[in-house]
Amino acid sequence: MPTIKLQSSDGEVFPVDVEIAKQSVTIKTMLDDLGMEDEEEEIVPLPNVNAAILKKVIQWATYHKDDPPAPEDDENKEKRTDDITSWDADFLKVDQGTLFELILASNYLDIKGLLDVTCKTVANMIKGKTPEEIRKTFNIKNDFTPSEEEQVRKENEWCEEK
Amino acid sequence: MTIWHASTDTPTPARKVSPRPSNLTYLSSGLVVSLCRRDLILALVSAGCSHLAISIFQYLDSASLLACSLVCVDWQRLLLASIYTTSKFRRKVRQAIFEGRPIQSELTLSLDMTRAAVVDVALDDDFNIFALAVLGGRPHVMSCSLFGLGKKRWIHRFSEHFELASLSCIAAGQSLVALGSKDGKIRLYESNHQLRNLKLIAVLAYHKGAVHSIKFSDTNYIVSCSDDMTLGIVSIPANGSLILSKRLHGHVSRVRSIDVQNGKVISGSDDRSVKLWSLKESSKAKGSLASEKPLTTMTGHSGPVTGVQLSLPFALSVAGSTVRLWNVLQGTCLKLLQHDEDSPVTTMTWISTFKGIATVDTRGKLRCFDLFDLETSKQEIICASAITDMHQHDNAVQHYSPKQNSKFYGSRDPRVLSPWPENAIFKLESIPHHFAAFSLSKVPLPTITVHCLDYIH
Repeated sequence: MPTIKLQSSDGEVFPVDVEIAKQSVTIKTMLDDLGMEDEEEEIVPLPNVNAAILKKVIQWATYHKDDPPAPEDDENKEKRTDDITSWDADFLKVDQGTLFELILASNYLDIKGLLDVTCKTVANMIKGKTPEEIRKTFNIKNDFTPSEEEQVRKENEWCEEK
Repeated sequence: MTIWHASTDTPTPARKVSPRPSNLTYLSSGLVVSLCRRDLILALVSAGCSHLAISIFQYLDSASLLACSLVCVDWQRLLLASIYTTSKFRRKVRQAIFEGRPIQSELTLSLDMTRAAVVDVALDDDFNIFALAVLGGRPHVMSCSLFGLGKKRWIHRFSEHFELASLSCIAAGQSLVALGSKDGKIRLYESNHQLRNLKLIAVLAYHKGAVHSIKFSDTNYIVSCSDDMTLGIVSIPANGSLILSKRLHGHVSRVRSIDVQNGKVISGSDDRSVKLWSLKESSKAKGSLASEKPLTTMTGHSGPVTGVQLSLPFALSVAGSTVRLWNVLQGTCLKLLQHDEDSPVTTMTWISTFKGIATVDTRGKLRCFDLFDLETSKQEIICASAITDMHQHDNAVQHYSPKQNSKFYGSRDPRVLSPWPENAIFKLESIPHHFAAFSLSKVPLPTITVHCLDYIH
């Protein structure tokens, strides 16, 4: 199986199966457009992804290499967050910094499956919590002044718009 | 106005990702710093990927979105500029309502002891519900978060010996819970450790008659009203001490109801009047408890005023089956909402999102009035009883609109779709985006049900 070399922002090079790397639409487009497929020695630089995160992304893509392509978003379909597989759930048991980097990386590399599952993981960190619990989870300070809260409440009459 | 784009067709390459981290140690420490300053959501926004933050929000139900919008200013701005303006979200809300169910999940507080009698319920700033109930002659406080989807716990069983049914009301706010009793005392508790228990911190004994209502203001004041014809205002300075800042004299009969907003207090009394007061200490009378005159006095009701609600410059007051809408700054009555003579209004509230009014009468009918329609209507007396019954059962929703083009929500099949079961709503509370209706059923076990409802025009 042909492989390509992916280079992280900090210079580390990862040899990856082309089929696995092509889960990234960004890499796939790059290879298709530039005809880089045949050149074995070509190194694809990924200036926005560091080695630690790229390693994680490759690990995810390797596990999911046989997955069917992710279905297109259906506007009317209820978005679920309880359909994360146990492998993905374990894979995403990481600190918020890593989760943040993974979201950015999967967005940059355009890997829809990974982007969806990381966003769902964050959504699950919010779901069913009180504002105070959310603040604790994300280490946020409550910066509302009472008058501001009132102001926003007034501005927030979005239901009135037709 | 739209700063955040809800979606982009092409993926935006992420910028500002940790610049050249040389190794893992650097990476993790660098991220800790960046996430200490900004939470994950705002870090995404500042990395130029606000559409990713929004796609996270799109996975959330409306209860969680409501919670998110109250987390901090930046989250709220992000939500207001994105999720809340997308037609998709509104469509979802609308659809939910036309299907006849509340857009929020229903919450049930089960008081699983047969002799429970609910005295009062209160909501604090974080939408924790506190229910005061008497079980076997002993008062209990139960707490449940509106966002906890039914997780509930008893947080306090009183060991003190209260006289049976001596407690009259409950209020909550700023991590405090206040209980008013019929002997005029107000017991103030600290609810600590995530509502695990209540710790008595003070007994306020300035009232000489039964306490009817207690409210927490958003500016560190506790306001109370009593049979002794006065209002008491206690301030809570940052150092935690309590100072009785003033007593308000003026009513000539018991004061049954109060409401607080933006430094103003409104009170309704058995003397048939409604008075507006200033919450702040007057500069000249500082230190002394000199008597202070009300800012405005509104008269017109023909019976004792049992409920008041403030939303400046408007106020609502109820006496019997009549609800009056006032402009409190001018002291004028704008509208009179006449309900059925034989079924007085028991509770009412503002519906915050569309500027409406919801009322419940003794027959359990919930009615929604559109404030905009009321303002433009030339009629001075709105006859609520003239509104045709939408449904044949007693808990039907009615909606008043002179324009006849407004939609109402309700159910065709009360058994399945009605958001409220066959029992009376005993309290309405206004919360952002929604209003909460508390109802009580006795069969098979005494149960308080909280419905969070909204209305789309």
